[in-house]
Amino acid sequence: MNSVDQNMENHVKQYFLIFVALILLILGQIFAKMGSDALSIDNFNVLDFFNFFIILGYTCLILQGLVWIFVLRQMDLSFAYPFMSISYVLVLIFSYFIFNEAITGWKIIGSSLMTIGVAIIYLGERGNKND
Amino acid sequence: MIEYAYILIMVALTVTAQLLIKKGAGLIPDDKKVSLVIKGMLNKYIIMGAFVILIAPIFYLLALSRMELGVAFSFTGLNYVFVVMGAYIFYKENLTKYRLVGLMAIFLGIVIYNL
Repeated sequence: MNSVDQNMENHVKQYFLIFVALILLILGQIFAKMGSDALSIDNFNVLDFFNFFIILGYTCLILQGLVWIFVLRQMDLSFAYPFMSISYVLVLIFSYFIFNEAITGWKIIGSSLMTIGVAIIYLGERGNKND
Repeated sequence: MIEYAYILIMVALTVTAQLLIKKGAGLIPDDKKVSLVIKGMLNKYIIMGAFVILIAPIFYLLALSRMELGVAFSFTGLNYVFVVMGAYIFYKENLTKYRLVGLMAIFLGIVIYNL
């Protein structure tokens, strides 16, 4: 009983870590886009890479990596990694509100399919654990 | 056209990094002592993975400066297919039917997203 509780607690912790990694991934994407808007193609300068938003994006990436190591320490890569696809759904929403990029019907259908895919992987794992 | 080369290089680097970090994460000792855990994190696989992860966004940024975030991000969908394939090939992870069906839905979703 005790070990079951502990196992449960461990699972909640793992899924929470996945969630944190997801948020950091999205923040990194948004800051990368903000930073890359400042890059000029015609007049390219390496120093342009070191602007505020790109540094912020990298910081999110480093933190995401640290969290991710602890996710992979306990979970299969082929189980945990697909969860990161939820970032598409969230990036779609953010790129609409922040960068005014278009939301199309295809993007909504695609995002829905990715969410369903992650749900299938998650529910499949739960089913196996209960066996 | 060069932006597609940038984004494919980024995919290859990302998949490599995930496989390296998975290998390294398994080498971290399960210990209450934080110092031992930190020491365990500094293994060669994680360090190599971190290096690869840090150079990947350079290619992503180069691509992003020429395409919409939504389009560039769609290409990273290939990461999912190759990461899961790699985990199966190199680490013999159990590819349950749920994982395969879920992965197909994710990949299809990413392709449709990009239409």
